[in-house]
Amino acid sequence: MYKYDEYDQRIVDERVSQFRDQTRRYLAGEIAENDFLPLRLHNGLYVQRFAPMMRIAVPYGLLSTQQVRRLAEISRKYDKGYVHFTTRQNVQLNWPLLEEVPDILAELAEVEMHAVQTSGACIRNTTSDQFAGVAHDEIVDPRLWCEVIRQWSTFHPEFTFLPRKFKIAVCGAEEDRAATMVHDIGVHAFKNDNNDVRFKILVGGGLGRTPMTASVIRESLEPEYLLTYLESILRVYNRYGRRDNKYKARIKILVKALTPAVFAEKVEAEWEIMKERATLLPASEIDRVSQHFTEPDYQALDDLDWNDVSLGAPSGFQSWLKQNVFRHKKPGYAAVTLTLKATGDAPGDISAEKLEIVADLADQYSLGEVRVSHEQNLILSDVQQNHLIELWQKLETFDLATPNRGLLTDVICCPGGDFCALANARSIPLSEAIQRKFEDIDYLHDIGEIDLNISGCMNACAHHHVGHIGVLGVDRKGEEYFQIQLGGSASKDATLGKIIGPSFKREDVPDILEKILGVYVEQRHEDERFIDTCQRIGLQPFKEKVYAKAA
Amino acid sequence: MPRLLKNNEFYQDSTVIVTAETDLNSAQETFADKTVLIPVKLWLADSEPYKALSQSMGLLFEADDMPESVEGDLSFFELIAVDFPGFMDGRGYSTARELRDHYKFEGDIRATGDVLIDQLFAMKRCGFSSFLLREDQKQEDALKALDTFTLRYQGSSDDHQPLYRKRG
Repeated sequence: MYKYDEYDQRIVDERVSQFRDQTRRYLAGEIAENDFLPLRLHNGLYVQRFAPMMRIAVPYGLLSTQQVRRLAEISRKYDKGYVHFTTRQNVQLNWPLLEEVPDILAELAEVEMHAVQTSGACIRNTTSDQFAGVAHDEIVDPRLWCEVIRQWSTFHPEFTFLPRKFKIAVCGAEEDRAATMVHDIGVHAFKNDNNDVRFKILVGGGLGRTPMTASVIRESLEPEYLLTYLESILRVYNRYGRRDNKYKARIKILVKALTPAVFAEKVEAEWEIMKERATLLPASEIDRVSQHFTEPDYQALDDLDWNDVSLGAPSGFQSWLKQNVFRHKKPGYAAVTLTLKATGDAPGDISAEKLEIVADLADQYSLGEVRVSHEQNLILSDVQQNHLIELWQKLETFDLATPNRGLLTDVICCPGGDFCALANARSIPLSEAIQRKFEDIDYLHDIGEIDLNISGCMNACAHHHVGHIGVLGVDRKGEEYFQIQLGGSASKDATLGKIIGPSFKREDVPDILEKILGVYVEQRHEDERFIDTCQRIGLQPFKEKVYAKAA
Repeated sequence: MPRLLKNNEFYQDSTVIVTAETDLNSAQETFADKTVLIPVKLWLADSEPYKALSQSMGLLFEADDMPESVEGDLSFFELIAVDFPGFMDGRGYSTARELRDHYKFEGDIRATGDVLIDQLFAMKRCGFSSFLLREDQKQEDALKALDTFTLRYQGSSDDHQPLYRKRG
């Protein structure tokens, strides 16, 4: 992974000093509340329902085990001994004290971490595929480009006060595991006929109140122009994006208002002027950064026959193998997902003790790296297949082997009304009720792959519009209700789900889900996934079942 | 207290902003030795009366004014003020960069309006060369803020060379 040099280190160190001074001036009454607001947001600090919440950046979801251990230490020393992984591959502390945040930042900087631009109307952490560099279906490794974008966007002076937050995602595989279609900018890395790396650029995707999928504005871009092109997009957005209404301020609204074609023209006009400037990426820099993402020394191994492996394995291993083990590009290796979705745990939460166990296991069985996925899970990316049983047994001991990756109970869930001041409803208790109802692992495996996303309000932190089943918390005269939508998808052919009808009380939602799944089981063709059945038969059969009058 | 920061020193602001109601016939006396700031929209409506003034002139950009609209007239001015209606309205950063980088404006570009200490560093990087600070801002902290970072990743109007062109 990327290692800081003296320059990178000095930049984060100076950031710590800057925020320490800003915090001191704020606490001394020299900076007014409203003037301090964006300063703290640019360092990841929200004021939440009970305490500040601090969001720490995990650039494109990559952590070293040293960093994981530091997070555990920090959560013990400054918080309540656990952390929360987010849907944008970042990590949050729920109870830090403002006075101590500069110290937390200093401890993070010691292990090459920071909280730069994790909130506020600026360019946020660039996200990517959690299997970057190891995926069997990868065409271009996105990590190099994510790092290049990270450095360019860090403290970009022109784009510190955009109309709204701005999110960039990069993917480079057949399957889009980074949800690029619902980002402000999606970058699809591919290879052209000459085997040269190129980028397809999409803009204007997003969720929230007005969900939209992104439009392609450039089919093919040479790598040296990546940053000048992004800079042109951002400038057009900064100049023309709406600032009169925060719900209409995202770039998607501008792209839709202008039409993608006209937006693209404006970008290209800006780009014509600045494309050859010094921001042009030299081959030397592409080379330098790519040195940090070279292939590790994999052993020459052969793929194992899964049937043979399972035969000798204890019961329970097979469903974990099927569900949580991902095909690696190297024979004899696998990438393993630890879902943070055991029943009773808030999705994405993990204790300091378990973080340390994960770090130890990553050192022992993987290559000292831990990945975070936007599904709020952790990944050990380079496990030898002949160690899988042993690893699984250890994970089992620590309750980290829940075999539900991609299944109904692998819920993507925002912190909701238990923590967040914006939420209309508490999403975590609903997630737990659903996990309790659907605990039968054979049933879950029979139902198969389902993205269930639960957002506590229309800001859509849990991306409910692109869940196969999306659940949205709404407020009906002070009471918590949940609206259900079906048929969304975050893949390359992203679709937005459709609402099935009036919303439900929390206690009714698990039963409603059971009815929905019943329709699927009745109507599915052989080997047809839930989402495919949904898209084939439409909403009507589900509506009829769910809203049928009791006889 | 003087609150115009330029070249690391503080000065009294000596500009005056004209409005549509300003009587230009008596301007010579009223404005005396002040620099007259003319809003872009007034200049575009009719620039002739202003060209007759003997005072030194500056152009005042509001957040929604576009540099390309006055591209041919920039040489009339030694000073361009860019107004920040609220410090979280970041359009002025792009305005300054376009003036410096596209239109090669070499005079003074001044940030006015809601100008706070903690935004000075970014403003400087975008080509601003003077800053009319909001009244409550402390001079000493403002001077320090101009040097918040000794390194920067990306090129900008103050220095076009990104760090990757400087790394050994």
